[in-house]
Amino acid sequence: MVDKKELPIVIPTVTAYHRVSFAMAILMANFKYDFCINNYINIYMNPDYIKNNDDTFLGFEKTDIDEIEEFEIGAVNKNEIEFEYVISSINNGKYLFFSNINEKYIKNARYEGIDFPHNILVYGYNKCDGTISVMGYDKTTKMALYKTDFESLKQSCNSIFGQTQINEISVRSQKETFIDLELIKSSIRNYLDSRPYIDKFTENKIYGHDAILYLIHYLKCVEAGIYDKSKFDLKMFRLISDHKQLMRKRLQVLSGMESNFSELNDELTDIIAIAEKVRALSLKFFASGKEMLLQNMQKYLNGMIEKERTLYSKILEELDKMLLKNDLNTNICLNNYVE
Amino acid sequence: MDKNVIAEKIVEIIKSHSEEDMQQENVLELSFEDGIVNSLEFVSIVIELETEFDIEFDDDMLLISSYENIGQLVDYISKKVES
Repeated sequence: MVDKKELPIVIPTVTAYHRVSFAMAILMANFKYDFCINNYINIYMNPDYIKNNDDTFLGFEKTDIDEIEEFEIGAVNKNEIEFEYVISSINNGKYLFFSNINEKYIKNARYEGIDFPHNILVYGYNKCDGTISVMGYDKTTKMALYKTDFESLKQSCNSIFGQTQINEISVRSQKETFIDLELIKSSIRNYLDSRPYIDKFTENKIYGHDAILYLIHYLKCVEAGIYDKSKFDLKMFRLISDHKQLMRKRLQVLSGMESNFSELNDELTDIIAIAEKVRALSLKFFASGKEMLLQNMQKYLNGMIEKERTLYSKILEELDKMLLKNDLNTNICLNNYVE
Repeated sequence: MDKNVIAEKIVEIIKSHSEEDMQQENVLELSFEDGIVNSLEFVSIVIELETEFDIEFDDDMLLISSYENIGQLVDYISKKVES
């Protein structure tokens, strides 16, 4: 009999993706290759975000927990949730995902003491002290791993605030990971071919280079005083920067399959450096209000677009060659490339 | 300005932003990778340093990753002050 157990979990390095972070945390811990290699790279920016704080920046595909092909999902009745149930689930390799749980009663959670529906993932237990191991936002407002006592979880489940839904998640035993070349190609094409920006803020979504052009326009508007600089939107800069990190992961995987991709790494490193520089400048502007920084950001973003056009076009060419090599078979099992 | 004075001031400003224990002997060798401050705090430090020493950081030097340790930041600012 074990007194405590924790299932493997990894906090995703990319933090902007609350919606997918739980799935990524499980997948990254259980698979050799990171989850984010096929999808999740397009930046969808909604201009209305600035007005409505609507969290629809990112057009993820198949990223809700119950859509992940690598997972087997089972629904759990919240009345069944007892400590013994958690122990049994964890011992059987099943994570427990609580969506819309009222965090008010959960000790150490971000919204402890406040009625607030949030998502948490339970990945472990400790019989000795009656605690469970949780992934979720903690007091630092960052996605984190923390402990809380089981009774607080149960109290939150029973709270009339929020519509708690509980799912058991187990990772399918056949640990094969596939990369979809066509999906990557269409994703990059969409990124490059996004509509040129026109002065039309009513559009629901802009993405790819369109998003960056929008960002440049946004900076011009801040500079001209059309947008209030005290409400300067930092999140967009973080998303742009995060996207490049995801692209780096994708290129790393492709490099393991075709050496030609390795040669493109330096070009991507330059692009990442620009994105990080722009993000740092955005933070500096946010803190200092120095308007000259806005012009620098625009200059760097324009440069970044040019570099991305060149690099992603080369990646598309290499993907085409790779497809031909594989008799146009778009799904490639990454396990074949394990050293 | 004496480099030691610059270093003392820089360490003082970083300490005011850091929750980490920075009591070790060779504080200039402390690595930023050890999480002394995060990237957001680092930019706040940059702004304070710019005001303190009347300098402007180059855009390429705004990233915390530009410096392996506090000593490198001291070197960079000392050169800026000199010029």
